[in-house]
Amino acid sequence: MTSLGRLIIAEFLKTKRSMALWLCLAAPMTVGVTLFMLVLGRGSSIAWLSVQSTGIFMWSFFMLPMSATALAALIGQIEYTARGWSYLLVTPRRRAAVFAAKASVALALTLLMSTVALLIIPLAGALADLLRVGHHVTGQFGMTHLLVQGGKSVAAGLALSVLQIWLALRFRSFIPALIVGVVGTFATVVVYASKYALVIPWALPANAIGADEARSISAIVIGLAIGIIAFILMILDLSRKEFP
Amino acid sequence: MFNLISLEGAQRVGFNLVGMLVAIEFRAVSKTFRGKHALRPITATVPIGSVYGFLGNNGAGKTTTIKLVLGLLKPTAGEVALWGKNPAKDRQVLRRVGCLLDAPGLYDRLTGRENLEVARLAKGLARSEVDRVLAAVSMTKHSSKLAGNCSSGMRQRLALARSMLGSPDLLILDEPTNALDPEGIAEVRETLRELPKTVGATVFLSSHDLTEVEQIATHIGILHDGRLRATGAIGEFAQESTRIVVDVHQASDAESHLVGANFAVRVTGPSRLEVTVPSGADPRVASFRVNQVLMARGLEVFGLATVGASLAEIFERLTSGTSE
Repeated sequence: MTSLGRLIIAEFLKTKRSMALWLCLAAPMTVGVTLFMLVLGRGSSIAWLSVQSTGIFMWSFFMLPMSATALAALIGQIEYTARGWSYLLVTPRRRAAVFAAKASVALALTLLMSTVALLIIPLAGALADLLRVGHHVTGQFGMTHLLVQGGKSVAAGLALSVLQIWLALRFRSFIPALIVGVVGTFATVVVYASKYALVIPWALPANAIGADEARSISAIVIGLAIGIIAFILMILDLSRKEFP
Repeated sequence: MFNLISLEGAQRVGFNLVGMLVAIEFRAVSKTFRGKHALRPITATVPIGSVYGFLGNNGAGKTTTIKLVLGLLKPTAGEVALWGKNPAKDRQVLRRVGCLLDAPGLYDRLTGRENLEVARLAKGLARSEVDRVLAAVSMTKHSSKLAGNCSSGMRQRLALARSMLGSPDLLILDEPTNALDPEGIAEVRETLRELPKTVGATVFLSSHDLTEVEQIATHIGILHDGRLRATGAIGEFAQESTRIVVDVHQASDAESHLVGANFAVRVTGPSRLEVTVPSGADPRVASFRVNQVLMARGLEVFGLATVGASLAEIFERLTSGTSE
């Protein structure tokens, strides 16, 4: 196994019994419960496509930016709380590999969180349908549609995820990362439909799943581009930083 | 017949330029934080196989020095070399180093074993290493306990175990008994005492606990206000600070005669005085000279004894004076 591979496994091991892992379940569950209540409380029939779109929108518009913020902060705090940076950086591994492994694990958990959300959306719809009397969820459940929309959201969300991870790893306190995440999510609410939304990383996932094809592609491309560039800059910046 | 060794080869095994086998070499290393001197230029060597006690009060610059050795901080000037190599440039040299820093650095939600497993994976070592180091610090039966539920002494022993992963050639321990309760201190001291035998490595031990260092150190360095006041083998310090305690009929008369003979003298009682053995002099020869001077003046000498200084006295002498 490569040294980077071993570092990634070590980073995954550190998340064992951590709040970060619980968050990967709890955040998508919030969307599931809200969707379940919406479908259950609706007085008329609803199409599967609408259930899926509502669920994926709730995730991309609000929960993904907020959860990625919280997850990155929790991953960063694993090291800061343990005062483990020094031990991590005196291994013979290159500093860049150490940070790349940590960031990769945070990104993998963000992906896991989105995957759980995609699984919970149809479950919430099906459960509500089962309990509804008179009105049912109509039409065909579109797995492909769900996966495509989920993929777009995840790809466009790379930028915000990397930026949140960068802040969470860079500062000892989780407050800067949290403030930026909350402000970014609030900005999404304000500018979601405007032309400025495509320059705000936190607004990109919601724009990536919109009906406007050109805007969707732009959101994905911008999200991936900012994400990749930010990842490289993050590794360079953290590798030069003196940790307490 | 001579064996020729290249400069590169010599540095690989740890020879410095004066031909000494050296694990750590400080070459005029200094560190400044925002214009404030944390460490004034330090030049010193830590011989291979030694237990080097790095002494200093809180804030003297010990942790800064250790972080410079490990490449965690960059020196403002000068260079640190581990077996001739700069750890900031050649990270592979860190493979031969284990460390315990000012905090144990354990993940509370992982068990002791899992904590060691994390370090083992990062260092790329065999699985069996974890069992070996757990046994070395007598933590095998507590290894499935969450680190967050361990006592401070157990946590420190786990951190010590982690530092021993991979049988390093150099162990760097920063205040290993700091912030421990008395029981924890006893536990860790016991482990520390066994350390040179257990690991057979060069040990660089920073502490402000003189008792701890006196018990195991072969060499010491004394840091005060970011300045290295003294460094060398502990025996040399003791010899340099040796005094001759003289019981004599008239201490004040004896004092004037001995001062006249160029001895440094301190009267400690009506019939007792202490003579400092001159630097580099043999204490037995100095005692003979003192006796000779006093007898020649007709003073009755009841007793003569040479007394070595304790580490506490040496430390006190070297660190007394104004702080900046």
